[in-house]
Amino acid sequence: MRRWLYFIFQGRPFSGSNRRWWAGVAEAVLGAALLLAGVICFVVSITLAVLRSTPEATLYISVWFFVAQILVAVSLVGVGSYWIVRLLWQVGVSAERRGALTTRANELELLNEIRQRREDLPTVPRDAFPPKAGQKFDFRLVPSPRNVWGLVTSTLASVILVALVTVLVLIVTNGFFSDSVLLGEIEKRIGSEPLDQMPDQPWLAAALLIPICLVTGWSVYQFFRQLLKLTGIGATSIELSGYPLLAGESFQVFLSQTARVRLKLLDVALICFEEVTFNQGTDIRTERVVVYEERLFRQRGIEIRHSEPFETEFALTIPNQSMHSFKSPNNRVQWKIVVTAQAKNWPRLKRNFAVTVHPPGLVETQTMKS
Amino acid sequence: MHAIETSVVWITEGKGEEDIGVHFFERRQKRSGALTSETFLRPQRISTVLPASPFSYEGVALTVRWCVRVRLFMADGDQVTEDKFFRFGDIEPFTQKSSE
Repeated sequence: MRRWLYFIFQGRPFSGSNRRWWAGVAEAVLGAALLLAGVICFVVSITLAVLRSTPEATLYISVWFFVAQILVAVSLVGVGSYWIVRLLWQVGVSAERRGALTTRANELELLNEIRQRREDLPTVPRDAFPPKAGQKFDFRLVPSPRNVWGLVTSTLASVILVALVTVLVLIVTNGFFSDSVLLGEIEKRIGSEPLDQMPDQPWLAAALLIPICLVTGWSVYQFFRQLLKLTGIGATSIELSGYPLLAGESFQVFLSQTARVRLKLLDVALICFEEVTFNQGTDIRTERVVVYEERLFRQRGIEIRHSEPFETEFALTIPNQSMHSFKSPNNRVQWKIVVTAQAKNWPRLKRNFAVTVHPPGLVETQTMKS
Repeated sequence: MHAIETSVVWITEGKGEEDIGVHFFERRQKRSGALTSETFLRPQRISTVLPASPFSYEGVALTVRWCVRVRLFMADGDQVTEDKFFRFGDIEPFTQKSSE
């Protein structure tokens, strides 16, 4: 056993990092498992009640036992959901809290001023998520919420598919085994008459079960993967010394990264891409082309304590004579800062921070006053 | 000729659907007296202050171009359009790195 553990952890069994890794895995997996178990329990209770109901009795078990089953199922779903939400909150709270604590009136005025000046810049898009007041520098970027939506989508898909598979399994089991074998055997033992009419065996449900099981397995895998991505590697915070960005100018970037695990790699890149939308036949397609990419920061082997995030500063320069952010109905030029974190035995995490690059001339970048 | 339209526009070209932004527009009609036979005897001048964006840009899948567009409406219903492109700003063209 110990040999296998050495093999798995490459000679470092249950080191501090591995313990945190397992703690993170256990928390995420337990929350997700409770949620799915609750869904299965709920669906089993309802489905069996429907399948086994007779004209004489609507429930095959006592009402109290049925209510207890439903309560257990709802509790499992509630506890699992709460656990997941709590984990996500823990992961994301630090940056928000720091931002809230350092919000100052003059900084809010600064942000309002930027919003007003953008009225003079047609085709330069407004920030979907405007920067907040930062702790180290004045502007803290808000990450794209795409990852959270990915988790929400995969959770919903998993719950629905697991419920569907549970119902199908019960129908198939009930049709092929319960009435014909188990119930018959029970009835023989208790001396009652065997069943007069055997129900039709649910071949259609049995045929559907295999592909739906495969899809459900993939969906549950994606759900766990998304959950581990969000909970294992913690909050990423990026603050800028000036905003909006201008071509040819340099800015200071403050990066703060929390994590439950040792990071194999932390990489920050500045990316500019073009996004075009076009009709192809009856489809509307969108294509992205990365036209500029520059690595801003890279470090390998970062040991992060849970209470102390990894913090660093580096420079960001928007290339001289480069295109500003642009948006028209079917075309877009977008700049973003991408943080990639990679931990051992953990899915690679990418966090995008969209930034607006203004054309030089009319609008002056607001820089840190202090 | 019964009308002439002059506009200053930016247009997008490339793989995406074409977008157009009209910054300046002027229509002269014979009926209102703004268009006479003497109009074409000497060059006409239009004047506008360009906005701060967008700059002319030559990318990989997208190009933004500015032009002065003159559209002539002929008496027989035909239209003749002439675009005179100009460069706005000093943006260097990008080259492709990768597709997402």
